[in-house]
Amino acid sequence: MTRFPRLRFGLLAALLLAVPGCRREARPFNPEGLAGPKIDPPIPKPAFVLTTTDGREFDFRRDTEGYVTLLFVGYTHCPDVCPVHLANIAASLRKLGPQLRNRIRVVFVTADPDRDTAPVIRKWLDQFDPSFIGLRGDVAVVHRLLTDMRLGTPVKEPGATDTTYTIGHSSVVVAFTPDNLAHVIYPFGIRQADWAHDLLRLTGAG
Amino acid sequence: MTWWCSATGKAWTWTWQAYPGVWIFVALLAAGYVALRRLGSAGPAGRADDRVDEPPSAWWGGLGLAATWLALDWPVGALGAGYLASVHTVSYILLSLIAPPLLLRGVPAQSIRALLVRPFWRAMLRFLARPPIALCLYTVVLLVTHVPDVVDSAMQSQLGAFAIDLAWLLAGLVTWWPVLAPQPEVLRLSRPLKMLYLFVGTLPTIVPSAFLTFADYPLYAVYELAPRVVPTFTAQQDQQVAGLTMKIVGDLPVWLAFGIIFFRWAAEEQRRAPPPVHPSAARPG
Repeated sequence: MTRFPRLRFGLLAALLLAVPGCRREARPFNPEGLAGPKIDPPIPKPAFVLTTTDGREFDFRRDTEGYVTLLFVGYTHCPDVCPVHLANIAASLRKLGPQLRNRIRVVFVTADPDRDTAPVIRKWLDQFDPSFIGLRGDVAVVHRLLTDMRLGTPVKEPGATDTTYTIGHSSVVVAFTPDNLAHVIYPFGIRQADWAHDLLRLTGAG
Repeated sequence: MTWWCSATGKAWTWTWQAYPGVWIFVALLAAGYVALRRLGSAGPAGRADDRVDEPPSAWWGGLGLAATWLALDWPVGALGAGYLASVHTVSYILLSLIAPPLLLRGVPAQSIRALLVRPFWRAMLRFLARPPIALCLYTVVLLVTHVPDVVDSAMQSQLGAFAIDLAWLLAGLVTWWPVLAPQPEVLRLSRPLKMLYLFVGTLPTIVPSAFLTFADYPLYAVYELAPRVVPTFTAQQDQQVAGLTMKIVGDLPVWLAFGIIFFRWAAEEQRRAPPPVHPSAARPG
């Protein structure tokens, strides 16, 4: 028993170190090396319920549990940021392949429920990716959600007519990992190649 | 003040926009062209071997100016500067491959002869008429102005976008000069050599067009992050169209010139050939 005390100690230490390593869900996500800026402290996944484009209730926490979830609040009449963001995410997802793709959910919440009816949102999202989830509901819920995530509240900016207004809103896509935290956000300017790289990392495949 | 087309990041609108810098540039180019024609009429007389083909017409120069204007002004210039890589390629083709041969074709031989009297211009025009020099300049400009970092930084400012447009036009004039130089003392390149030169001139575009067509992701941030002009036309598709346009459409003016030179050469050879001997004349009497 006394011949290999160092060996026995080493084996014990290795065993102790290996146990937490087996519990994958307990390992904290490391956002280093991602293209998007790191958030410290991470943003907890918000709890809210809104309605999908096919009329179902969508409990954000429950229905995205275990997925990498990209949350974006915008509006379909957005002339610049929203369509570019979603087009670039969609293009990157197409490169990932179905297995990884199925581990990612993209959730779009409208900040303009007056104009963004369910069919309008669906038609608009379908041009990027039919699997994108579109949500609409009470503006107060959306504002609270944005405030909780420290992303400010949307501001209506008048246009030439009552229906041609624009909405100033955060251009950030918030990426939640399966640990229900957002360690990283994606402001406007993230390229498709960066999305593809980061989505691999976020799903744990890269 | 907006004087030249550049990337603005604003949503595209089909409402006409004024770019006074483009008008001034085209007006200066037109004034220079008129001055060059006048210089020719007041200068030394032309020689019999000056122009190998038909005499130049002011119409050629006018078409060259129109192509330049089309490439630079709204909507082509604006779309190409900040929205669509495919339209950016159309601008490149117009400025480098269509406008320059038209402009050069419209300059009378006497005008060039009048310039050749001055030592600086004589040296410059003869230097640039050397095919290797012209091809090297063209290739360097083509490659540098399609490097993603160069495009992304240049197109953000009006001065940068102007520099790229000017580089394309000047590179185009230099590239076409060995083919269209009208004076024998500038260059006496035979027709087969002109055809060879034109063929070699189509090779450098293979590099950027292949990158554009086959890249996994959009190469240029300026076009990838630009508000979409047509929502269903993705940045990747736009880039692929740009690559194919550069190679397929961009080569057309070159092959057209190649064909013209070839058929003129063939016709000339036919004229020079001795008349066929009639069978009755060959019969022994």
